[in-house]
Amino acid sequence: MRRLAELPFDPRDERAIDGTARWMGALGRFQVLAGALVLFVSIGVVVAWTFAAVTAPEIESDTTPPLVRLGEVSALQFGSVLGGIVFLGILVLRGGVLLTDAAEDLEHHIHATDEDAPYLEDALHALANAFFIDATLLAILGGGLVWLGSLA
Amino acid sequence: MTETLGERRRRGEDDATAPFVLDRSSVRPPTTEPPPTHETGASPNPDEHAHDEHDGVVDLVSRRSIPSSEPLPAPAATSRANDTRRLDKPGRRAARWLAWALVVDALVLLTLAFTSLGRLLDEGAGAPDLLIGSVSLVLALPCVLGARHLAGVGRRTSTPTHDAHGFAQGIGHLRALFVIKATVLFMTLGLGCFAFWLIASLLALL
Repeated sequence: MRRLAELPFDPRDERAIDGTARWMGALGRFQVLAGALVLFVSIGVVVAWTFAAVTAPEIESDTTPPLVRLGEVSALQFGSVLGGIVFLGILVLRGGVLLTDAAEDLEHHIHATDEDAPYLEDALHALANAFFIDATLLAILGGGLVWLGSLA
Repeated sequence: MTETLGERRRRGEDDATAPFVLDRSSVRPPTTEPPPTHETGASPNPDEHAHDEHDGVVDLVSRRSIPSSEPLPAPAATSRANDTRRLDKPGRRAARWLAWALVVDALVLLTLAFTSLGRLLDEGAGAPDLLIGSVSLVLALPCVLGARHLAGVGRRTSTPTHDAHGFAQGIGHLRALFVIKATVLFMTLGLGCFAFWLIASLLALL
């Protein structure tokens, strides 16, 4: 039996794999950045919500009403929405990590000095998991967008 | 400088794990006179001929006769393209797992695309539906093509060269997908950061 690493790639094949790995790594790093940003913003929103809940009755006065009033939001609604956003952020972050791993494994295979390490198999598994996560994200975000479009 | 695997492959050299191709002519050049061997009874001592040589270089291997039933040693350089071993199970499983993931991704994208375009045709919805539908269709195409090529890797009828090209083409089709996604995500991140800075500046002014 032949391993994936023993496939006879010609230079054109290797160039195609290398080019894909570079863009894959770039997308993975952007996804990690976006996921981390979402998580940091979520933490900031939680801190702001807690601070407002603690200090709002003290600083609100009748003579100077608040500039923006977003309406009454219960803690359960707030927690649900924030939990959903954090879940999406974690999915984006995990997908980015998997894409970066897959890209590094593909580049290791192209520039490898030994064939024993199963770089290609690891890359394909990481890439497959990243695409499953991507499909979940697309289903959630796309479904949400279509649902919002139907409401409008 | 360490020689990489890619450089060795480009030169057509093989490693120790490569299969054997039996070619008697490449192992030893044909000679008109067979050298004296132990089987012919020329010398009972195996090292005797080595001591007879005065130039210091004795090719003991060439003095040995090889029966026709004995397998010959492998030549040093063997082309990988001549190897007809089938892809092993972990390799086939990894390629098909990725093909399935691409199929699932493509199905989700096509569902989104047809839902948006259907709404656009039925209700005459606006630009967002057209944008979602067209982008989903564009993203689904590389997924379908990549899944098609990767699903064919490791079939019983395919040769190793065909497997390698199919694998590279399947991965290469995904490049368009990654380029589009990375560009859109970069623009979204940039615009998001700019909007965040703008809102923060306006709130600071107030």
